[in-house]
Amino acid sequence: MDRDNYITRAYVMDLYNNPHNHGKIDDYDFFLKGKNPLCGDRITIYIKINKDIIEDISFESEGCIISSVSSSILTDEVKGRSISEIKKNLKFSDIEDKLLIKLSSSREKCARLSFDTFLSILNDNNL
Amino acid sequence: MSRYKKDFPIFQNTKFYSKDLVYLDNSATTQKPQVVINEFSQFYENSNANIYRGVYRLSEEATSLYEKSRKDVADFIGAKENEIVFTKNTTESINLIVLSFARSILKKGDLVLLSIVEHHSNIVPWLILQKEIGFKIKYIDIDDTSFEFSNIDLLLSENPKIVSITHVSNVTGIENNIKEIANKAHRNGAIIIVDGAQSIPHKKIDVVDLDCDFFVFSAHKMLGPTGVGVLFGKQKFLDEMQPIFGGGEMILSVEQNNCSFKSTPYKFEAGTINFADTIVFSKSLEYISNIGISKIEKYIKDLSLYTYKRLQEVDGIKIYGLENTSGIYSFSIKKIHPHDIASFLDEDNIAIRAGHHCAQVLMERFEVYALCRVSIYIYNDKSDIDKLVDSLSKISRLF
Repeated sequence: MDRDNYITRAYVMDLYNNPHNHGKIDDYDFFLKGKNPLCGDRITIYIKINKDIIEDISFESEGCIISSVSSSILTDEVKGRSISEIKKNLKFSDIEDKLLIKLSSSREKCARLSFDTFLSILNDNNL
Repeated sequence: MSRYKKDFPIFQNTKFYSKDLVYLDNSATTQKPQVVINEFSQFYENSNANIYRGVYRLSEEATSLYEKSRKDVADFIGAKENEIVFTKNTTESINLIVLSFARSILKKGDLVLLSIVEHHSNIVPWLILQKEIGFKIKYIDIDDTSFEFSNIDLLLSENPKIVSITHVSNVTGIENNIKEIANKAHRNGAIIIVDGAQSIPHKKIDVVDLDCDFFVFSAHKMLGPTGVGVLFGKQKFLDEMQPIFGGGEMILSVEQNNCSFKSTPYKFEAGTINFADTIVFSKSLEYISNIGISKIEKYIKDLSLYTYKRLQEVDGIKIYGLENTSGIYSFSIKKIHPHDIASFLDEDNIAIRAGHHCAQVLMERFEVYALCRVSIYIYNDKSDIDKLVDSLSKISRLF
C-alpha cells in the first residue's frame, strides 16, 4: 500500500461526511437495492430518466467509507449523461481513478457495489 | 517486548513506514518461528520420499518421521497414537466425523445439538447431512450478560444423539466447560464432539480428562504449517467408522468387486497425504513444549486480561463478550464499519480481523453483520495492545 493512498485522507473523509446525491429522489423512475453479503454493505440507487438521459440519480446506503464514497463518485459521474453512451463507455476504473485510493482486492468489492447496482438497473429494465 | 518475538522472522521483515507489525489475527492463523521454517528445508533437503511405499532407506526414514509426528500429537493431548487421524484442517476433521460416524448412527427424527457460537465448520457439514437424513438440529443459546451457554441442561434432557460444540469461541473467546458438558452428555447417552481449534494453542488439553469422544484442531493455529488437521477419536468409534475417501495406501487388498481396509487410523488417510507439513508440525509442538503449555496458558491469560482492560478505554467501543483467558475479543466502535476500522489499523501496520468470522449464526444472534476481532498469541505483548488502543482511539475521534 502506498502511504499516499490511505483511507483517512481528507478528500475521502470529506466526501464520506458530505456525500453527493445522497437520499431518495421523489419522482424516480427506477430503483434497485444492492447488497454485499460478506460485509453487510447495502445500497439503494434511484434514477430519473428523460428519454435517454440520466436526469437525476441518488443513493441511500449503509456501509463502509469506500462504498459510500464510491457511490458519491459514481452518481456524480453518470448524472446528465446518456444511457447509451454510458453503456458504451463507463468502466469501473473511471470510479477507481477518482477514488484516489489504491484498493486492495478485498476492498474493491466495497467500491464495486454501487457500480454493479447501477449497471443492473440499466440491464434489468432494458434501458 | 515479548521474549518470544525474536524467534519469529516475520516481525523483522514486515515493517511499514518504520512501524513494526502488530499481528493480532492469531485466531485466523499464527506466525511461524524460525525453527519451524527451517524444518521445511531440513526435511526436503535430507529426508524426502513418499511414506509407506518404499522399502528403501529414505522412504522408511520419511515414514518414521511421519509416524513420530503422530506420536508427538498423541502425547501432546494425552491420546494413543492410533487415535490420531491426520486431515487437512479442523474443517475436514469435522466433515469426516459427520460423513462417516454421524451418518451411520443418525436417523430421521434424531436430535443433534450444536451451539449458537459455532464456526461454520461445525454447522454447515451438519446442514448438508441433515438434508439427506432429516434429523433435527437445535442450538444451545448463550446468556446475554455472561455469554456462557444458557439452556444446555434443558436441551440435553431432550436426549440428543450427538453434541458438537466448540471449546473456545472464535468470536467471544469464552471457554466452555467441556469436562462438565461431556459428563452430562454421556449421562444422557450422547456422543460429544469438540472443536478445539481455538483452545489447543494456549490451553493444556488432555482428551482423557476431558472425556470427549472426538476432539479436532488445526496445526496452523499453533505455530505449525497450513494443510495439517488433527482428528482425535476414541478408538472404539474410529474402529466402527467407515472411510469416506478411498484410494492408495488406505487398503489391505483390492479386487475387481471387493476391497478391505487397513486398521484405524490408516484407513482414513487415503492417497499421498500431506506428510511433509505433518512432519514439520512436530517441530511446532516441540517449540510449544519447550516453552511449556502451562507457561503459555498463563502468558495468554495475563495479556488477555490486560487487553480487555485497555480495550474498554476506547470511546464508543462495545465488546461482544467478557474478560476471558483466551485473548480473543470481538467488538464494534460506534457506527464505524468494521472493515474501515481494520483498514485504518492497517495504516499503522496493525493486523486484525473484520467480518463475520465464519459465524453468521452468532452475528445474527448479536444483530450485527460484522465485527472487529483481536486475538493474541505468545509473540504479542502489552506494547502491541497499547498501540492497538492508541490507534483505535484515534479512529474513534474521527467519527
